[in-house]
Amino acid sequence: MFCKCWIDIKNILSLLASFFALHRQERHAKQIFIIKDNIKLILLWGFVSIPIVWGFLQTFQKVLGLFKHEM
Amino acid sequence: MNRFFHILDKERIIAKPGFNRWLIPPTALCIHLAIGQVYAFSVFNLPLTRIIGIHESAPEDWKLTSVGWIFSIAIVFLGISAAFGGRWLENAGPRKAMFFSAICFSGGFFLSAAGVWVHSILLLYFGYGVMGGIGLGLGYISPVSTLIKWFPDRPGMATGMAIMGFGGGAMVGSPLAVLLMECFSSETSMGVGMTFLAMGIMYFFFMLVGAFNVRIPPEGWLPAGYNPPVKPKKLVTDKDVHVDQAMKTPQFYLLWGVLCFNVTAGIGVLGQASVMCQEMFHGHIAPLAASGFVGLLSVANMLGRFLWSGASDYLGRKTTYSIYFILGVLLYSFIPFAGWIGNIVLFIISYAIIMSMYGGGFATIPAYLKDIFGSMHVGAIHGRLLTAWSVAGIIGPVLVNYLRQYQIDHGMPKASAYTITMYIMAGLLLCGLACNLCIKPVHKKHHYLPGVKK
Repeated sequence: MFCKCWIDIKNILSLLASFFALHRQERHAKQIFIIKDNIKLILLWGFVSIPIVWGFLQTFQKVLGLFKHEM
Repeated sequence: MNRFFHILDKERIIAKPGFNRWLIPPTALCIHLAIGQVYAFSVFNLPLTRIIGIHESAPEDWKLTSVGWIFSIAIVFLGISAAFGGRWLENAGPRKAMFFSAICFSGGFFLSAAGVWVHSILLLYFGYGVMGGIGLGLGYISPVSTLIKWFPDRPGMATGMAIMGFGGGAMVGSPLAVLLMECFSSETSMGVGMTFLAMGIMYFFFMLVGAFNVRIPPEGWLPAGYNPPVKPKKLVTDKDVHVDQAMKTPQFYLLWGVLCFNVTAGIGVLGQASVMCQEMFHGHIAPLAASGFVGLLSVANMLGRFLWSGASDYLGRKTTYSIYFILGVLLYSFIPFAGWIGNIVLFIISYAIIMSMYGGGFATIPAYLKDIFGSMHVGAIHGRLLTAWSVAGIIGPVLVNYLRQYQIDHGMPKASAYTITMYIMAGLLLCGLACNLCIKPVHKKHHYLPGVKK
């Protein structure tokens, strides 16, 4: 009886341990996923911002010309 | 090779759970910023007429009228490819469409470079006009339905962001082309061929970044915390309409009219902006300052795409378009008066608001289509609606140019030659307003029912 109980407890404990290990692994994987996502977010937005900012500055210089010369 | 094409498949780009949807707008911007270069094609017009003569046009050089056709052909093929490619895009997915758009758009540049080197205008018509135009059409519609699916809570803002890129493309493309032509020009060459080649390579890689980072949401995905309204707004449907069925509804043709009238009025005066301001304020605005004025309009056009479209999420699409048309009528009617009293600031402000609404009209239409026809085939329906742009691209400039010339030929002073044109444009906007006010929800007999053929 005691042996059977002990086996049951051991099974439950190992089940719990594997559950927490999996959960920790999943959480870790999710964290890496989020960090990777954020880095990608910064890189992508940075990448498209470069030509926009450059083009805007070029246009801004022209617009300044309009106001300096004519206003 | 076959394996390579598999990575373009729709099934390969379904996002994993937890994917950040804010990664999608920059991919759309990569495509639209590149293809928006078409608005800056006019910077090549003059150099293309001096390929042989270099310092001035030689008799064998192409005429400006022949060169002008390159842009027109590109816009016509933009409309055609968007209309015919929309349905293919819905099945193939955005990555494949973006990839083929990049190949066509850059390929157009490469063929045009060859056309410059062998001095064949036909190669330019086929290169930038036909091939580039197909790339433009596929690229224009490819991210739109993807963005609407990722942002069901803010479709106007999402599509506004992408289509803002198209407006901003000229802002990047124009100085880039000038810079490259300066780099490649020499005593014996205008540097146009090398500029086409360099731009083709640059734009190809820029567009590939967009194509390989785009993802589509899994079926039935909704943003965290977003619950679709139980009772949607009057014009917003929670049903879908098949693209072929949408063509049978009056709403499609009314929206076609809305877009066509808005674009005709805007595109007509956009092309003449530089000349118009110099002629209306003769002696006050020099050519250099006029180019600054055109630059300001391109900024207004770009910002209008994002701001008006974003605002339409709160105002509703019908109200937003009514604002474009009513405010447009008032401003078009006011511009001759601003010229008459000689007030440059009022003239510039009025023009900038008009251009912001012109851009806003382009950016708000995909969200309007989503409201009326649902999101299932919004990309394909949008593609077919873009034929309105092709029509407006021909009618608008022709109307403005011919009316101006007719009046000048009949003794009208140049400064006053735009008055009637502006009133005609205001009339066109009134027609657009009438179309907009007639739009009602689609009858339920047109709604898509899986497995039921109509």
